[in-house]
Amino acid sequence: MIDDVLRSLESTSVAGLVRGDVPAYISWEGWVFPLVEIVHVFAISIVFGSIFMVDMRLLGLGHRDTRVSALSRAVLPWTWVAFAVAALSGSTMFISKASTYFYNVPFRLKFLVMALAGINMLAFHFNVYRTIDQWDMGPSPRRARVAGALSILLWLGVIYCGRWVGFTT
Amino acid sequence: MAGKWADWIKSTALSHSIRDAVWLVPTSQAIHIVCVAIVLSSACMISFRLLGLMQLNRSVRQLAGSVIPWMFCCVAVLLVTGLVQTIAEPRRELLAGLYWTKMVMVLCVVGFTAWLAVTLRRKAPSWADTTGTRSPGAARVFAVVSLVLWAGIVICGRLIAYSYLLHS
Repeated sequence: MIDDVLRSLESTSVAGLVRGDVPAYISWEGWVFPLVEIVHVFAISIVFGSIFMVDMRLLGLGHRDTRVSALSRAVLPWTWVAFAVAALSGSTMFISKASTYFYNVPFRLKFLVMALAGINMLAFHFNVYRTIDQWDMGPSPRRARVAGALSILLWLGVIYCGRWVGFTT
Repeated sequence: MAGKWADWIKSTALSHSIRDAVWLVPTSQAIHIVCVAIVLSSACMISFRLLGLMQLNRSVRQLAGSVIPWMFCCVAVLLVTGLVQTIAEPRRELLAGLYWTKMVMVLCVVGFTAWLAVTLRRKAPSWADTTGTRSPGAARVFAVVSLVLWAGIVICGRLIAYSYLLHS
């Protein structure tokens, strides 16, 4: 069942284009995949880098002269835009070899770790962030620092797994 | 000339041992990407702040003071991890025009960023201490040029692996 879905994704024209199955008269054969990769690198850089800024503030290791809420408001909209671009470029690469990636262990691990990062973010947002008014300017409470540290570690894991995908497929 | 150098580097014991440890190159690439992410995001924050595109009630001097030290730390790590990858596969790197293009851009952007850091520390121009405003012409030129250079560095860096497409 799932294999049929994966194969039909692979047979779409976008998937073919990314794989490089373009007519011989087009000179950019082989270039589409690296171009999509470049977009993905830019997007994940902004995702990780912007989350890193907020996490470092939570840990008290940077941006200490800025309110947590002000930094989040300035930076996190960029995170979400970049995340959407990363998801789109990632999906494009995925469908080019869907049945290979789907069974790739680092690929699966990457999404498991990303899910954990998501849970960590939700737990932070609906728990300790509710009392932000009490610690917006000063040092963050312990639970916020733990969330910040976990966030950095989990996103490092996502990047590490992602890099391994390229070496194992 | 570069080919000879590359072959010599590849024949060294260090190059062999880096290649023998199969986890080392992927790990150094992952660290490389993490540092690229921090540098690129920091550069975006400074440039967007200089251009008045980011709503952050904070002076350029405060912002640059917190992110430029991280940028220089990350650039140092980038040089080390990049060196590991160069020693592992010297022909792929040293024979690629994109590699040298990237290095020239790295030198330029590091120089420009150091210039900004020194200017902000020494003279502390009044625009650098106000919050929420756009900066003067020279600072905005810096913002655009450094963004273009960082983007070029990322593009060349990723494309080094595909240099063979240029020659086929």
